[in-house]
Amino acid sequence: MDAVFNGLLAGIAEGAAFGLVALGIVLVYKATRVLNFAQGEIATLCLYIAWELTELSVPVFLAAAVALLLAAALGAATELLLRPLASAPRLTVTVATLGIATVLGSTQLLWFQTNGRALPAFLAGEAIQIGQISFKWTQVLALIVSIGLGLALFAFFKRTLFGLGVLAAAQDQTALRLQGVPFSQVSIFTWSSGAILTTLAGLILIPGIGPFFPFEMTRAFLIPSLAAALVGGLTSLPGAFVGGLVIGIAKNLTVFNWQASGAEFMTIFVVMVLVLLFRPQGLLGEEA
Amino acid sequence: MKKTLSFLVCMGLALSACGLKVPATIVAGSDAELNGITDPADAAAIDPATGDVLDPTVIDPVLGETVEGPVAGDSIFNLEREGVTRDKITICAHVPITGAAPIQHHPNRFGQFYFDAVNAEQGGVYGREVVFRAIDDQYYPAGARAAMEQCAREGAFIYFGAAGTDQIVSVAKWAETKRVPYIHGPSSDKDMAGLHYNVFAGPSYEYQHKLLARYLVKRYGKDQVFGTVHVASPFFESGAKAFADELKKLGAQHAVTIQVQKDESQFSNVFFQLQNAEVDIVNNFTTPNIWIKMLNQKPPTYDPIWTAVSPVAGFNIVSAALAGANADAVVFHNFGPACECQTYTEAIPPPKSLPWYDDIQEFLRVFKKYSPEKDPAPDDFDYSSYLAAKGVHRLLLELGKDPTRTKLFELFDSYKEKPADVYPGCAADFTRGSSRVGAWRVNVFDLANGVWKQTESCIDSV
Repeated sequence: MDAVFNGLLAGIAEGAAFGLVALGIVLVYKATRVLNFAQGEIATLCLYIAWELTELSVPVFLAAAVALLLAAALGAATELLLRPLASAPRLTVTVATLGIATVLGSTQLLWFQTNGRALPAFLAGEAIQIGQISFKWTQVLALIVSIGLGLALFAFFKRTLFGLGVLAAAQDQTALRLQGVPFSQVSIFTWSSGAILTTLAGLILIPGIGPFFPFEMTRAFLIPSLAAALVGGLTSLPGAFVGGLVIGIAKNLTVFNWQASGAEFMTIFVVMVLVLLFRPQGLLGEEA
Repeated sequence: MKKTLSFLVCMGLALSACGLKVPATIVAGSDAELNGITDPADAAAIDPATGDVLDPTVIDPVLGETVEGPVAGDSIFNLEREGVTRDKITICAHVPITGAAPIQHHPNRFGQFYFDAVNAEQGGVYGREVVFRAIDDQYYPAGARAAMEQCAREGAFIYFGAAGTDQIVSVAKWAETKRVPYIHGPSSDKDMAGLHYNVFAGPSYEYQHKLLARYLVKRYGKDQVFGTVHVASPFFESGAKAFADELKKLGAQHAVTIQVQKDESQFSNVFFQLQNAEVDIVNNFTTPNIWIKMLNQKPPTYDPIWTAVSPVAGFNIVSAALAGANADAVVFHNFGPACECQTYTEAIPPPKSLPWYDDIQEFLRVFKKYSPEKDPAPDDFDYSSYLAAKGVHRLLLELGKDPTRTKLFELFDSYKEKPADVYPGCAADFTRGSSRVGAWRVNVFDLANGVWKQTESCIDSV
């Protein structure tokens, strides 16, 4: 029972992290129907820049702000790079984002070599201990931010004209243009926002984990966050958070109770398959 | 039929475009055939007098002429002098520059800097420039094999593997199929059983862990509870098991063994299990990155004593992360026989009274002059690389003007009969361990006191 309770707690903490990264994935997918694999490495590159700034004695909040601005710019640059593929099949664009991710990761290796960097946290130290699990402030912040951002983005898409335009762009670009909505602005906004969200996740979470290295965000978060997005629903922002919790809890209940190596990946996969079998649109996603 | 022919033509064109040659005459019974060499130009020369096959790479260093070499079949190796020419001898290594346990160095810091000094100041080895090529294996078995394939394409006399348990086992098996000599870093007796082309001039994981267990029980007593965290890989299991078994034999309690993935970033379940089992002393048999992340995520209410064997602890980044934490015995070794723990640790400058103080000063001189980077800061691994290269240098000197792979292995085999004086005043001891996993004397680093001690005296004096 101890292991179950502690697994649940650890799962909520880790699930919030997955949910936060999944938000970025879902945001881009919701608006473009593309799985953006480049987001992770945009985030890692921005983490390196933030680290360089902190080494120059820039306060961490300011360094983070610069990193987020850079993420926006890199997201926009990604969109411009991929714009010629606007009419191409979505799978083609997805593969192209993989290529961009590789280039960005290689850039990190070139500029920063393989040296690990430790980024200071916004809030350091332990926040609370429940049972045998101690939660760092980074984990609590991830939980609060992912809930808050998920709700805010949900409201943005439902209640604002621009948000509706972002959704409309995914369904019919021509109709959007005919309505006088500048598609390029919508598109740049979407890709930049996705990059910002993932970078924000990195800025909050990575300091609590330890030093980061090239390809860190992809290595640490991509698979479980993708699973979270699929489970929650690729078109649902609150679903990203819920999916993150489901995956986080499933993973941690497995590692806390079952000592077989790699079992947690099997669990993630089984959860994903089960959800998609019975609810292909995800737990909170909309039916096609 | 037409489609088949077209396919074959296309394949032939593609192969030609890749620089590979369409098979022509193969010299029967030659190294060429064994090597899969298909171009007659690459095949061995034939002695017109006897009809024997001559090793094509044998060039008399004085005459510059092809001389007779051992006929294929007399040797266990494919080629005896591959990677050796009149002017150059090549050692090629796979090293983890990137990946889950990166050694954050320029490739030349893995040994070439030492040989740059040898080449510049001593004219190389018997007039041959020594090239020590290091290729990134990304801390990944397939990456290590790809690196070795690259070495094979370029031609190497000795294949070398610095670190990476899974990678080393994978390449040792590769070397078995390619029949090339492979000298490598830490590995286990169990995983190397039955292999014939690899040599590890150091103690196996099993032996290191037995010594670690003995030291810890001697120092802390049998009442402490022990636990092990190791990488989720079968090649880490035998070392972890040896630790647990030795503790049990000594009457101590080993409560839990926990496996973690190489890329794991969350460790709350690990600490949960350690705390649940009330582990006092944790043997961290993982990677430097994992250890650092674990230290970062350790709950403040849990403060075990950390311990490890060499592959994990021989890194400055780990020493730095451990500063302030409880840490003790690190059973350490080197490629070369470090009979008195010849380790340079930046964090703990060596006092002049150390027997190897002069050697460290020489290392610093060589490193600063020949390191590929401007104003580099040497660390533990640089010194390990220096000693490894020094060991290889000594081997090459002992092999003489006409080095062959058979002679190299005969040299290693001779060390099993009696300890060899490879380093001045420091004997290499191959009398323990299995066939190709040797056992130099093992050394223990008493981290708390910042003192290195030779194993027996360290355990006895505790």
